[in-house]
Amino acid sequence: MTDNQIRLDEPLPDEVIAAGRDIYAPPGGSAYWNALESRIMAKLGDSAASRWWMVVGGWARSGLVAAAAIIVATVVGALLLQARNQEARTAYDTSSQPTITETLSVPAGALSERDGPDTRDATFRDVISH
Amino acid sequence: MTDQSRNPPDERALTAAAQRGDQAAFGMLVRLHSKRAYAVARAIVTVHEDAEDAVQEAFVRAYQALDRFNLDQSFGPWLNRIVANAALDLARRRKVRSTDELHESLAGSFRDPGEADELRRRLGEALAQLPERMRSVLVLHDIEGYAHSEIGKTLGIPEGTARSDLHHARQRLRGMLRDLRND
Repeated sequence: MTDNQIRLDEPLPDEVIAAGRDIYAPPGGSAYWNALESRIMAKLGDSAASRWWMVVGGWARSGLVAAAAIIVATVVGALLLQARNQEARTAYDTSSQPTITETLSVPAGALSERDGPDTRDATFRDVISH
Repeated sequence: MTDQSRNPPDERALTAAAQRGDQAAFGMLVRLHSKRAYAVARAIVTVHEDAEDAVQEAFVRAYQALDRFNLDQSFGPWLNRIVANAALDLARRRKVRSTDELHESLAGSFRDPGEADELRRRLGEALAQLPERMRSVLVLHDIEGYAHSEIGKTLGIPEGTARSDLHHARQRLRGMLRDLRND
């Protein structure tokens, strides 16, 4: 190879190209390419499987989120219901029991005749303790 | 080398079948394109084992992206772009590879690694000293026979850049091989 053979903007000399093709030659023989193809297809199988698991995983995640939402909604609903019941019970108790003033203003004679002496004593003790 | 010459008439049907999930059809596409894919990858990563890894990775990526492939296009250039990207990703990860190792891998042929003559050894060393893109353009054009437009599409660079890279790559090679005489 001489400098004259190697000029700018001209193709490289044939022997250089040939040496390059030798360096970059792909592996020969169909066995190699068949094996490579098998490896690629096996990787595709793994990739497809992992994609499938990702889809299933996505569904599982959605299911878990939905289940958690249902549980939270149920618990919150139960708590609200309990709170409402408690409120209603308190309101009922408050309205059904006489106030202290009302109780104190009740004359002893107004006590029901049906109440025995024990009941009356108990009532007085209760009123006095307030 | 045109796209048509590398596009068998039933390739569109194979690609369409592969898009519908037919793995056997995709296997045929792998068979049809693996050698070209290897050549593209090898031009970029230079080492046989890395080229093989890049080809495998590229076919997996292509399979996963099949639903985005437009059947009006040719499969080959689309795949080549994916191969080039896979090879470039691999090359970036392999940046730590020592220059000596690169010289060695380029100076030796895969077919007969023990029989490296002077020209091949020197050419291998010279190629290893070229910047990655310049070397890829030179190998794809001068050794693999790709047109500038195909190289541009494959490497994702303008055609003019591919021409310019080729010019500079040849110039550098000539400088490095100036003292070689074969007479």
